[in-house]
Amino acid sequence: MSKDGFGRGRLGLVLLTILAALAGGAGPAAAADPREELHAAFDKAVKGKTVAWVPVWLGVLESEWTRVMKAHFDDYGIKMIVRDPNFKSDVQLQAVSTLINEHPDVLVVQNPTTTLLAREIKRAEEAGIYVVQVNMASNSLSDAYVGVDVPKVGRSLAHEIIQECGGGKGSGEVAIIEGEATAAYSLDMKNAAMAEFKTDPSIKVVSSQPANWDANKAGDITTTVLQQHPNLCAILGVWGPMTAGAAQAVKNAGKQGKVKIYVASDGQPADCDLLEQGLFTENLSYRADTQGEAIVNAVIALLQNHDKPGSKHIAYYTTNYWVKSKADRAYCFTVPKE
Amino acid sequence: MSSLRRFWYRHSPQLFLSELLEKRWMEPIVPFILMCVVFAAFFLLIPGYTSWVNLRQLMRDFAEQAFVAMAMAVAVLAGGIDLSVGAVFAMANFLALYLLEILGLPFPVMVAGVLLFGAAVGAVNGGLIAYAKTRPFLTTMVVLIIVRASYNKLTAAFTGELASAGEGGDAWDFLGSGYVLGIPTNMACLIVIGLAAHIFLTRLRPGLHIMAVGSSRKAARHAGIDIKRALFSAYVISGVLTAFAGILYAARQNSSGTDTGVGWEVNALAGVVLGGISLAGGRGTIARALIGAVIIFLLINGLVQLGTHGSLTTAAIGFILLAAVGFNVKWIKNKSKVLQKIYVSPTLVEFRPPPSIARDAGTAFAENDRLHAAEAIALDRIEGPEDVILDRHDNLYTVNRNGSIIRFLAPGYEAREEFARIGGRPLGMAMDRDENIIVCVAGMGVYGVRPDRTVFKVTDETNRSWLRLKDDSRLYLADDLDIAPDGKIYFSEATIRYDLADWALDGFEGRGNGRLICHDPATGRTRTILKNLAFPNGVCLAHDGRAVLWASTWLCRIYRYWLAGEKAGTNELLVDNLPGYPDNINRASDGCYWLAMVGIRSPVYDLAMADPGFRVRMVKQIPPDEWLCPGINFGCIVKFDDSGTVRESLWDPGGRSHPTITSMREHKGHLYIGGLENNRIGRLRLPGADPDWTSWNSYWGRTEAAAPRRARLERVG
Amino acid sequence: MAEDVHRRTAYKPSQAMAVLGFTLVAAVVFSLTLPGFLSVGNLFALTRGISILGVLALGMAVVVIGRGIDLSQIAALAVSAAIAVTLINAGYSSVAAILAGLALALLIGAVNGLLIAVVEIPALFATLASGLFVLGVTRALVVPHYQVFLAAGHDDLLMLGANIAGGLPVPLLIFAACAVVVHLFLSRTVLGHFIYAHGDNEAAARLSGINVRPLTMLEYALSASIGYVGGLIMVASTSLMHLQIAESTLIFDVILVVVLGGVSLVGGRGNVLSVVAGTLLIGVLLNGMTIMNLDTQTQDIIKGVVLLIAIGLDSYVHPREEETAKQGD
Repeated sequence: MSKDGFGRGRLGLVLLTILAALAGGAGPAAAADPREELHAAFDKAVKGKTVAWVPVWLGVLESEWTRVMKAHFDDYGIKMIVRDPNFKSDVQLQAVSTLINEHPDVLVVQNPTTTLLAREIKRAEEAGIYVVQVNMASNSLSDAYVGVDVPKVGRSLAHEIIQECGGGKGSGEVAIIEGEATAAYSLDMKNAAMAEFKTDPSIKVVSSQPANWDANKAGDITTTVLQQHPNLCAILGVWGPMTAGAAQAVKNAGKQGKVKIYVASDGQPADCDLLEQGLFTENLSYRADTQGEAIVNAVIALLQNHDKPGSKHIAYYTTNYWVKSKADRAYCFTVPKE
Repeated sequence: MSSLRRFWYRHSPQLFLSELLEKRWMEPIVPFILMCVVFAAFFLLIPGYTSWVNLRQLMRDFAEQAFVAMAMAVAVLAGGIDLSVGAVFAMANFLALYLLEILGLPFPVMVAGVLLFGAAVGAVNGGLIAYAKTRPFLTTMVVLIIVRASYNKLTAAFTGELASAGEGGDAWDFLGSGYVLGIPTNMACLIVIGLAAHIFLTRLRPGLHIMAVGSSRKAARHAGIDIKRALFSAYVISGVLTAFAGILYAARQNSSGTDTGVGWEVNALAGVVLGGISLAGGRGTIARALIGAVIIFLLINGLVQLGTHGSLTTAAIGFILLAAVGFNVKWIKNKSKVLQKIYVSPTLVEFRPPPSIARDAGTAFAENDRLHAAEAIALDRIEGPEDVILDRHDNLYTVNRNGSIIRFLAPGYEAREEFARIGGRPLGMAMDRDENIIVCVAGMGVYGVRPDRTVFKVTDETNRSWLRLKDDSRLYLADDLDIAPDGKIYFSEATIRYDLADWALDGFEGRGNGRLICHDPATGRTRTILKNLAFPNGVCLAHDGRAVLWASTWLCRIYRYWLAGEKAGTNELLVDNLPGYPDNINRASDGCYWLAMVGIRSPVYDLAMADPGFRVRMVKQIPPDEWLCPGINFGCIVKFDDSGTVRESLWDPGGRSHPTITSMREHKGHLYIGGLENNRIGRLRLPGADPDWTSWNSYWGRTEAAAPRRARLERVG
Repeated sequence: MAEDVHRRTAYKPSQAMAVLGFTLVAAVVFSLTLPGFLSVGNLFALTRGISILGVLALGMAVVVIGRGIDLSQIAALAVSAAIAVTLINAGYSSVAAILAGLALALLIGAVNGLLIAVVEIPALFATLASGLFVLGVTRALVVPHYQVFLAAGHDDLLMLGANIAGGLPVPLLIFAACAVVVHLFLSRTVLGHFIYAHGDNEAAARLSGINVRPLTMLEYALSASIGYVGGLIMVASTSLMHLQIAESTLIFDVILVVVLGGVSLVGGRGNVLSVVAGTLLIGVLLNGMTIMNLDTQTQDIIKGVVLLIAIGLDSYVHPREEETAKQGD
């Protein structure tokens, strides 16, 4: 049990006591009021429950989710436990296994691969724990999936590139900067984009290389690609910070503005900054802050539905927002000062 | 107060500490304590940490990392390193899933296939390193890169198939989520294979070869070990262990992710170093690698369970590893220094003033010049005749410093020949019924020499005292012996804490470090009779054969241990407060006993013995040349009888020709005198002594069964 | 004896020369088979790509020549560069911030040296753990999200990663300058010779009066600070520093480059030419394979096999006496 968790638990307890006192004060007369009943049912379903949250690590995106979730859960009197495996999948599996033994009410996980947590998710539901999967789905469907529709992001970005470069408007040469070749997120986005590109015969994907989420590597790849294909029209980056390296390489090659850069973004502030500096052409932001709210809503819904864990599978695909100019700043979240 | 003081010095914590530090299992004590501390800390911080559910979870999560750490340990112990373990592990994990779930091969075929893969990668590593003589670090690093890249390529290619793969069958589920006697299957495998690996490395020839090559290639080659094969096998073993971990992981996780096994080589290496295994090779055990791996695993697991932010987990791990290894390095380095500093632990010895030895004192000890009459035999032809003995044909046997028994032939004792060579430092001798010479050899035990000069071992160990930390089953410093009529050999072991060369240090301790031991040739058993004796030295069977007399050098006493009669099994003080330090005891022709005095007490040394603190400071603070030592520049032999009364004494004042007398043997009216550091054997005519009396007859002469017995023994031999 | 002298004077190509030759062969093959490989533009792209690796390898070489290894180099440079960028973003002048970062890098290096020379922790382990430690602390206190972007408007710093007239990449110039400086330091200064002596035989070096403890600290401080230069180039080329590079396999690439050219891990061998040769070989291979649009895995496999052959050949050409070989090599 973490210090934070303990603190929150105590806060929840205090709130509970106060609310109980208030409820007691309101007396049975209020019980007939349907609005009051609704509230009482909500409190009963939600208050004092425990939500365990295991991201792959606490990066920018995950921290934003955590921040939003924590704010809401605190408000509802839900206790939240966070485990940070720091990008080690074996540690994440350990954390999830141990948490299932501790039996929280809801388990929120972010899957690093489609298979890693599949067994544990089933085990959790058998043990009567609701499981919410975030952004990256596993092979085991669970009570709820909240997250970005990755293929859709790939298609949208590709569509935008076709608008810009296809049909003879540009050279039609496109480079894709992948994340890690085997990561589902990167793979799905790339495949969807490739399918979309196929619809326009003038588009030619000249390079599709994984940069392993490393900006330097992305820069090196871009430098070489630009060398080989000086007429490159657009670059599709699957992740903002990594693509920043590609953007700098374009700038160093003196082609800023000539080579358009389209990026999938979680909406972190730096992505908007780079766009405002003219390094990125367009971002497609899936907005971690609103995703965080969607997670909270999924949790609240599960707790109130009282379905048996594993009996239904609900998806909450989050909406993507185009960031094309300074005016779209709102689609990037702001990281609060810690 | 003084009894408290006695108690303190008798049960010195310093002694306990120094014996503790001597133990080999104290080497990994720092990692071991750290492991316990980490576990205890999480036990206090995490509710339900030691619940059976959680413990089982911990075991299940730990096993694979342990296998990889073991694999790394084998390579490191062989003097190399295997960085490819992380990648091989991941690949084995993938292969297991591929063979079983995609190709649908039977379980045993899959296991064989994956282990074969591990062995193959090990063979590539080992082949390059052992036979092509490439550098381990670099070679395995490149193999890591190749295997890792292949793994990434394969998992990418089979992502879809792996994701939709079916079930692996019962054996597979048992491996992944079953229990053996309540213990997770993979942990049970770890226990079995870990023990096997330990036995392999410490008991079996190929494993010992690996350790030897890791310790010193040169020495290993000189010992005739095939270095290349040993190195090769180490890497193959490493590969197989890693591959096995991959199978277990696959069974448990059913997943082949992008980061599977990434950085595991680093964790394994960290575990190995943390456990105290030297990166220089050859030093360490499997258990230590496991201790290191446990610490790292528990730390990461526990910190995550505490909800620690990933950054702090990283920082904490880094810091703890540095602190632990830093401390351990210093500990290993300074342990022997500490041991050296505290090893000598003097105890309290309180003497009364000794009887006077002045010429005019009128006591039996009064100094005289009677030893001056001794003629020198073998002058400068012998080195350190600690003991002398004569056979029935008057030939003279003595021990020599170089480990041999020397014979001087009667009657002139001019002809010298090496009778037998045993090795070690032979000390006290006795002759048994079959005229074998039985001899105590310092550092080796008790040995015998038959009349045909063949050497045989009598015994070199006794029963271990279980309440003592120090393993005292081996004989360290067997000193003198005698043989009872029933053939049992009674011998003294002077001390179990020092070598013969350091006898003075044992003297500074004055502690009961020695023991009286009995070996029964009939059963071949050796038992300790009396222990915690202060430098038991001379041993002599009483004339009637009913008791053993033994001398305690540092206490200046003679004791009698009863073998028969109503007092059988009891030990009583016979002579107390001798004016010198007694050594060997031997029978005299008149029914008395000769006693050699190796040194003479002095008031200042007696005072020092009453002040242990003084001796501690002396040993620690001043060089050995300046130490206060027992006075040994005297020659003295005394005669006492069965009642403990000292009858007479023979002196060589100033030790002109016979200083440091350690033995004497009466034979046909003469006394033959030996000394630990002497260059001669003395021969002194004893006026009035029985001219026909021989020691052998005194022991065995009354029975005439000797000849047939010997014949029988020779047939058996 | 005469034979001995003879053998010593007979020409034998050094490992660096052999690697250079191999690089040349690879380059010729690529030029003939790959369109666009042999062009000024591509050569600049190639050298830009390997400049950072080369700079890091120079720093690592100093430590390796002194018979050490610095696994914390990437962590140290990431941390100090990230902190420098954070300071710049907070409004400090670029110069002050960069110097502060340098001071931090020197400090990390010196502490590494202290742990190794005074506490006597094996270098491999000490730098491994210290890397984890600085990384964790920095992320906890300064760079909570592992990455820090350089705020807009610091073109002076970005110049380090830009191109100058004719497309000549500045990182290449920095690499060249570092190579010259390190070469002069190692071959012309007393301290440089001391480092060779230290690596060749530590006991002999100590007995002949070299104070090896401060020397070790110097070696690691140099490794970290030269690495820091590489970190600044990274920031300048990408306008951000992502701490996760410390957990990537980059450190293996650096060691590989160092050792490939003949800076042996046993210490006391090799020079700057070795590093340059190793860097070029890797650069040519990577560039050629990127042009072929091979995926990273295939690139790694090919790179690995080539290296394995190179290692095997090397031990065939330069057999070592394994009985006297130092352990941990």
